[in-house]
Amino acid sequence: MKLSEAKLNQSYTITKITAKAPLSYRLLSMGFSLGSPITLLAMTIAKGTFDVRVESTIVALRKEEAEAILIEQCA
Amino acid sequence: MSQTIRVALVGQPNVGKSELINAISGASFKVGNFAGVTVEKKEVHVTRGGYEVIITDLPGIYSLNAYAPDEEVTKRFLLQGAYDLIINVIDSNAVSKNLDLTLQLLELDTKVILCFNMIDEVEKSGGSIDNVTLSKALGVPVMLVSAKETRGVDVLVQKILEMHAFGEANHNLVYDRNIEMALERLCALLEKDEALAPHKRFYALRLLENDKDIYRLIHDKRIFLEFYEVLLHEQAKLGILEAEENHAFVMASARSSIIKFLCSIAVKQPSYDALSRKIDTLLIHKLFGLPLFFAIMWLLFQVTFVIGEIPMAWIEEVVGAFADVVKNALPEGVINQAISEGVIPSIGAVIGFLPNIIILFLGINLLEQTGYMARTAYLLDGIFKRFGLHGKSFIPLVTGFGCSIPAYIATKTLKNPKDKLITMLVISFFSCSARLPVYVLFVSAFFEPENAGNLLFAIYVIGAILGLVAARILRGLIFSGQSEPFVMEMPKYRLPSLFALLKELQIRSILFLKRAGLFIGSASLVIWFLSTYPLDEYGVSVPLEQSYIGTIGKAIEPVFEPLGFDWKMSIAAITGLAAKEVAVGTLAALNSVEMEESEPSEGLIAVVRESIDFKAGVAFLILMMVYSPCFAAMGAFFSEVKETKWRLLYLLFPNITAWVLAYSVVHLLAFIGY
Repeated sequence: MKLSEAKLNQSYTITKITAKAPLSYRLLSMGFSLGSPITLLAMTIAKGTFDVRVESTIVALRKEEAEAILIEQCA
Repeated sequence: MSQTIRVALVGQPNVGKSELINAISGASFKVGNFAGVTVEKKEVHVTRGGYEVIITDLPGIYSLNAYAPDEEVTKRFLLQGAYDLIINVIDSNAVSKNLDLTLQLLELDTKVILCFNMIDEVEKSGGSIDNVTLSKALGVPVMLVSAKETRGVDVLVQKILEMHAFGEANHNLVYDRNIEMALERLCALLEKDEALAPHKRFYALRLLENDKDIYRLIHDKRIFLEFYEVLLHEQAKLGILEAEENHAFVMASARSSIIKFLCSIAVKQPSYDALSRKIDTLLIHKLFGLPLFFAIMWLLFQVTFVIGEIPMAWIEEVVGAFADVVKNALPEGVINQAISEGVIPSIGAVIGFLPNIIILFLGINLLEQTGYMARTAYLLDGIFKRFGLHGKSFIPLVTGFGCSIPAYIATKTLKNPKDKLITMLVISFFSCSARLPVYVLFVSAFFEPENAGNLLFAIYVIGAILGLVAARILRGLIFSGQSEPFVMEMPKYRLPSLFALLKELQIRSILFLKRAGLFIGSASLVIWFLSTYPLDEYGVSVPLEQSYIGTIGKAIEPVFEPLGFDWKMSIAAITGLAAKEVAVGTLAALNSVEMEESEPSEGLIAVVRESIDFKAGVAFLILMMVYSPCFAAMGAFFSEVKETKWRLLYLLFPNITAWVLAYSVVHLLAFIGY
């Protein structure tokens, strides 16, 4: 599923990043890599901007970017 | 003569590079708690142990795959600049993310010192970093430092000298076998070119990641054709081409596995900051987040007005007394008059507003230091997006509330040139603190003191809304197209440092006084001269209206007459183009006679209330809110933007908009019966 569809405060793992360069580089260097744990902490009321914790870094991103990150729920 | 050591300070954004450089050298570079405070490289010189150490503070860079223009500054310096060693600053709270850059830097074939900053925060939360083990594993010195507590800073400087004298550009990094084999084959080819040979491993690694800057470096070399074929072959073997568009993943995961190993042997830290999380549940709350932001800003403007007003009367008294002293001390004559009647009252009228300005700046500085600024970017991104702006544009725009010049410079963190240009064009709608004197003067003159803080807040909000609307129009008309992605790190909340606040207070006061002295001093001299001359046949000044300035005022009056301005306000509107405070100084100079007669504590405020019509006063406020910022800001814009059409737009757009808006509001007010 896409990060934009995640439930709040649940633990997920990143399975794929479909963003293109150079956005993919930026995501990688902020800690979004395959297998990284990720949690959705908050989103704005219009569900346009997301606040996530990836590894131990907190990052804000838009829906468009969140759609380019695929995740799966941790067992 | 002493020897010099050139040190490059490199690290990811918001790891405290500027704070560290301040701790080493006693400099006062601006620090904040969000990515992108330093956007241009800056140097300090320190003398230690017979060496002159030159440290260059570089903008934060997430990885050598540079993304935004401020990161390119750093990359260019690392590839082409002259430096003897690198200090890689690392946020001890986020080691694994930071080490990604470290592993890339280690390949640069330069002496590197790793400096784990903010170690105090990790220790306080029960974590630890084993620098001895890390140093052994990586083969480079690892220092634990806290710039805030100036802990470990002297040892770091010692280490710089030691590394310079005895250190070597070595490291122990080994990637997995497939990558190392590919590197070996690529290096064998690069070896053939004399210029490339010394850094062959670095180039080979970067080229595996398809680094365009390195690509440019080698693509006109004789070995290129042969090399390129081997490169494609090796990339294919590593699976780099199969990884869709993303050349980065293979190398990134190779680094990531090294980092996981390093962290497992040497780093213990709590997985995340629980306190920041708690604060965030309130401050970025779905429903309360935005109202809270507006409440905080409202409070800031209330405090700006209410507390800023208290010292105003004292300052006026001191200035008045000072003018008397000067008047009696100087010999009678033109110079005495020019200074005691022209320069001092004008500067005095403006200096009275210094407390307001300082409070506003300190408030903004507080937002920056605590880390709340980045949260507001998150909160406002949705709104900004609707107006065609980027959430990150918010930081330059809020900086614009303080001063437009650093705001223009702060746009360097925006990657897309269109976003940058739109942001720059609308920055002046976000009223800078220099306009505060005009606002406070007119608001105090025409409105009840209870409402003054609210009105001040309203002026800034209306300005911001106008800016957003302007951005929308610009985006629609000329800049249609995709806006850049929004991915922004949210820093940990930190307590503001009193020292940094005091530094800000000092810097802002000095800057303000310099501006007051330079702009207002010289402008008021000119105005005094123009309003005193010509003399009539008896050697006495003609009435003000017949003086040179009266004549000029009458000549330009038609432009401003539809707004209800008299000739004095027309002159102030023009001089306000040089700097907004000058408009206040001008009004003070042109009304000096009336001011003498009014109650001393009321001064210019009373004169404005008596002599200016309410509608004209509002029109003047609107003009000041919207029209071109000061000369200094225009200069800053021109040095960033070179194309003639954007410069013309920048010169015309705010002024025409300002006039039209002021005209409409005057007529609207007349229509509803004012």
